[in-house]
Amino acid sequence: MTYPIDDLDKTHEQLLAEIEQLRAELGDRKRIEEDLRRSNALLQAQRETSVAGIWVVNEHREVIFHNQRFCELWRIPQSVIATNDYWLILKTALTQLQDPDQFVARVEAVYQNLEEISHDEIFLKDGRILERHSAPMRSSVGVYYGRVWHFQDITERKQAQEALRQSQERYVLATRSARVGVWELNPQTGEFYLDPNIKSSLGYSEIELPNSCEAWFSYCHPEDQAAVFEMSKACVEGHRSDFAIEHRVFHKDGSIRWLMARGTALQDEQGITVRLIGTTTDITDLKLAEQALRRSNAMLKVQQDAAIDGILITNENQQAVSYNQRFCQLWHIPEETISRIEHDRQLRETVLDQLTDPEEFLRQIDYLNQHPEIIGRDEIFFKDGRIFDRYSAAVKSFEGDDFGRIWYFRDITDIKQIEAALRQNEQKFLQLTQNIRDVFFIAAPDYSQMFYISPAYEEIWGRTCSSLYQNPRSWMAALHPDDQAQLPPTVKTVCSPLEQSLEYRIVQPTGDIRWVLARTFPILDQAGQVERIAGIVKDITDRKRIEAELKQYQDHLEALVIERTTELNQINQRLQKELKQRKQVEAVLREAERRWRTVMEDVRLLVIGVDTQLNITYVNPFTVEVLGYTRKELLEKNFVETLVSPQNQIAAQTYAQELLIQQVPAYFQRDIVTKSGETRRVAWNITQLRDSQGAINGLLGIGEDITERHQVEQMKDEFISVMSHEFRTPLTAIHGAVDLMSDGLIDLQSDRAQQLLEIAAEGTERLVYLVDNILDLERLESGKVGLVKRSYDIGELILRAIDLMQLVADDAGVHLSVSPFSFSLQLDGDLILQVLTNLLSNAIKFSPRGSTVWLNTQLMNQPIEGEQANRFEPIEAGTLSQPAGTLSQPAGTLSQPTALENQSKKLLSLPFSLSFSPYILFSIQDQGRGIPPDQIEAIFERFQQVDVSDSRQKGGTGLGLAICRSIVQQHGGYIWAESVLGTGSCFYVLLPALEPA
Amino acid sequence: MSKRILVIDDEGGVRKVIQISLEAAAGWEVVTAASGAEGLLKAQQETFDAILLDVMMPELDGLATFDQLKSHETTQHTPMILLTAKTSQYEHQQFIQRGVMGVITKPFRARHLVAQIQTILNWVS
Repeated sequence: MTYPIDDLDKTHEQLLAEIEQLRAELGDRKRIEEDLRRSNALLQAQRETSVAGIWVVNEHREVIFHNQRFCELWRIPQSVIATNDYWLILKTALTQLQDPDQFVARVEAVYQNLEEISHDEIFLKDGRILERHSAPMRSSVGVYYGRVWHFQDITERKQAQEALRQSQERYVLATRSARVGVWELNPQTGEFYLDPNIKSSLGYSEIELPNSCEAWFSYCHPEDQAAVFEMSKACVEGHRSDFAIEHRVFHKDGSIRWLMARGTALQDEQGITVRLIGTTTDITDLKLAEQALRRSNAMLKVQQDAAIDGILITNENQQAVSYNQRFCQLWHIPEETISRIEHDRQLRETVLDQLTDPEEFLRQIDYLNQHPEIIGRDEIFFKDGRIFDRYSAAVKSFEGDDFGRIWYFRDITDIKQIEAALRQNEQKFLQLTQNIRDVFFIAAPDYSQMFYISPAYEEIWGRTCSSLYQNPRSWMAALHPDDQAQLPPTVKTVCSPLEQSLEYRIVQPTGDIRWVLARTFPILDQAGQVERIAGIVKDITDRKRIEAELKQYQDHLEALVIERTTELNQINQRLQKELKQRKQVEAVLREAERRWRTVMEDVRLLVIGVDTQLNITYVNPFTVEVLGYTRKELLEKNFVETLVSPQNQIAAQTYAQELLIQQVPAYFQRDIVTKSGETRRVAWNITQLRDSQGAINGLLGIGEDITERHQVEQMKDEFISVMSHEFRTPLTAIHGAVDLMSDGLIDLQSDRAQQLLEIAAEGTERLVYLVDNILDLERLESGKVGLVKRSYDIGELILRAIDLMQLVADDAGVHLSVSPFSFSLQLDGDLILQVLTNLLSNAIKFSPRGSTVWLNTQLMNQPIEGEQANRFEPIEAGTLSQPAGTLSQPAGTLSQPTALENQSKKLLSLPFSLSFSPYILFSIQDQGRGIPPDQIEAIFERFQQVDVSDSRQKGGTGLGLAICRSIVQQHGGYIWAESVLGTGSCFYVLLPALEPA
Repeated sequence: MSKRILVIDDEGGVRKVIQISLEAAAGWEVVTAASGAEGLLKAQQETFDAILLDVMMPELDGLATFDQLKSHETTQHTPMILLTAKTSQYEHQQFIQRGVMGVITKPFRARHLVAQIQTILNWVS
């Protein structure tokens, strides 16, 4: 305490007063101090003996006091506490706190609010809890001079409180969760207590559900009230000592709750029930759980029955407690049988017969049953080939209690078969990939994993397959540096969904470089994403080498080509010049060929070209025309086989071969056969054809169709032969007769001589006749004899002809029949008479004895148009207007016409077109042997007779009809014949009836 | 011994002339036939030392008659000579190739006829 200096100015009295005052104050102070000391001692004693740790700090945060308990509580080391350093002690304390920051903040807050009396709890790291109580210290006058802190270890108390709290909480929770409440009934007083938990669980308040039996029963389900009452009554009346009954009550929300009421009767010494106490437990959930369980079991059963697996559940005693239909099906156990099986072992024995290894089956079951913690998974093999997958697991409660085991059985026979097939396929795949010389691989799309690499990798890459499995991207390290940069990123990273084909080099560890051709293709999953990539890598080093060599060779060739091209250009220029010259020559040749071809095409000669095999290579149009074939039909056909008659083919073939080697004359006459089978005579001139090397490559024949000329020559030869014979025959008779007579071999006076003379005379006459005929015909055809036309009556000419031939007819025994006719006509009477006599002579000559020759004459009308053209009908007498001539019945021999004669009076069909009308038609009909159709025209040719021998037997030279035709034609008429073999012939002569204007 | 000759010719005058010629010039016995058919009949019925055939006869001409005579066992060995007015040597060769002993051309003188027959048939005069 200090005094201010300015107090020195005061008086002694004042000072004495003050000193007295001071003495008094001092005395008081001493008393106070004494009191204070006592108080402090007491306080100290209290503090020291307090169970609380006390720490007193002044307003300056200086430690004034601490008790031992404080040190103990805060475990402040003596060395620290001795310092009395507030902050050190505080720091030491803070290290023990769970939340020192909060502690400090709280302290500071307290110091900020000096009046605050704080009370809180401090949590230490070691689990202790200290109760802190802090109050300010003030003097008697209220001056703040610090704060006192009380710390008390309330850990045990807290623990006890906590335990109690937890216990209470458990109790509450238990009762609440268990929904158990207690109740008590004093049957004497009727007092009833019901646990509030029960009330609250039912949703009722205390007021809504007071503690009374009546109230309680009123909330019971009507159907259960009586049972509950009776049960309670029985206990009250001593009939029972306890009871337990399930009954329903109504919740406040109207729902029904199930309760389990249990009660026990407390009885006095007389056995009178003085109290009923019990519990009521809400078993609604249990009931619901039971229902759910029943439902669940039912659903489980349905699921089990619907499951594809056979399911068997055995209890802890290995008894079958549940199974599904599928189980029975799989194991071939009738359901009625399985329900009678009491023990699992019986079930086992039922099925063991089906197994291949029943002992192993039983062993496994026993093992699993003995080790419930093990989940069994194995396969069962049946004698009938089936395979089952067996899965088994223990069935435990929530608490882990063993309820038994559930067994699943699945028929995996098909799966096994598929697996076996897959394995086989995989085996084949491996066999293939192991043996092919190309690398086959399957990898992840980014090559982060290699699923398969074939052994060929080791040969081509020179690295092990195992190294690639370990480092799937290690194959890239082998890439040639030049190719590394060229490879697209898709090779190195993610595989493209498209197929790829790449050529690149790899460098083997030995330094050897190999070329490879890599083809990769993606393997897509069901979503179409690339799941893996597969590929084949082929060593194409040899091919590359060959390509390089080829390239080298090609370059060399190109160089040669360039060199040769230069030469060729020079040659080309030379050739161009030659070509120009040749073109000129070709132009000349083409023109010559054109002219030659024109000649060949236009000439009326046969031109046929053949090759060395005698196949026709060329025919000109005239040849086609003559032969009747088409050009196409002739070209490439064999000449001999096609155009030569079979009997001459060998000779023709031989001759042609000799022509090819020029051994025979190239000019000859040979027959060829047309398409229609006609034989044509051709005079051939053959030329050899040669190729550019001069070798003979064919023949060219130019032929003149001399068929008609040949025929004429043949006819002439024949005529000459006939004439020769005709002349020589009478000459033989004449010459022989005269020779015999002149030679003296015959007596001239003998009869023989006379015979010879007659023979000579007859021969001479015959010669004269022959010479006359020939001369007549020649004169007629040469035109040296002109017609001397005058008007003649046809009828008279006919009669004269009859007269001339009557004697001959009589000698031949042939009857002549003439129809009367009269018509004047301008004609050469002698020549027409010659025609009529010639025809009559022929008819008589070829008619058998006793037959008739008819001579019929008609005047015919003009031709009718259309269908009747060239068909003519006779004109009745007097119907024709003509400038001259009368139609009258002439005198003469008449006879009835025969059937053949009647034909001449019908409509006559001419074999030619008539250019005039009217006309006179003569018909001379006989009953001779007839004329063959192929000679009906030819007989009018010179030297033609039906039979050559007719010239001897019948007389005649074959010139008569030719003479007749010439005479008739010179009169402007027609002559023809019709004949029926074996019946007769009819010769017609048609002359114009009017002179042309 | 006198030869017997069969002469087949359709011409009566020629037939007579030949008959008289052979009889007068050679003294041979001559039988005549006016047709090939008649000649065949007579040749088979009688024996002849030679047969003269005219080539050009109606119906069965000389060559056909020759073929039939050659095919008949009684006449196949009888020498046959053709008489023809045809002068073609080619045709004569054709006749020889068929098997006739010779060909005599008409007309002929009697003595020449005999000489030719003797020469052809190699008859000693």
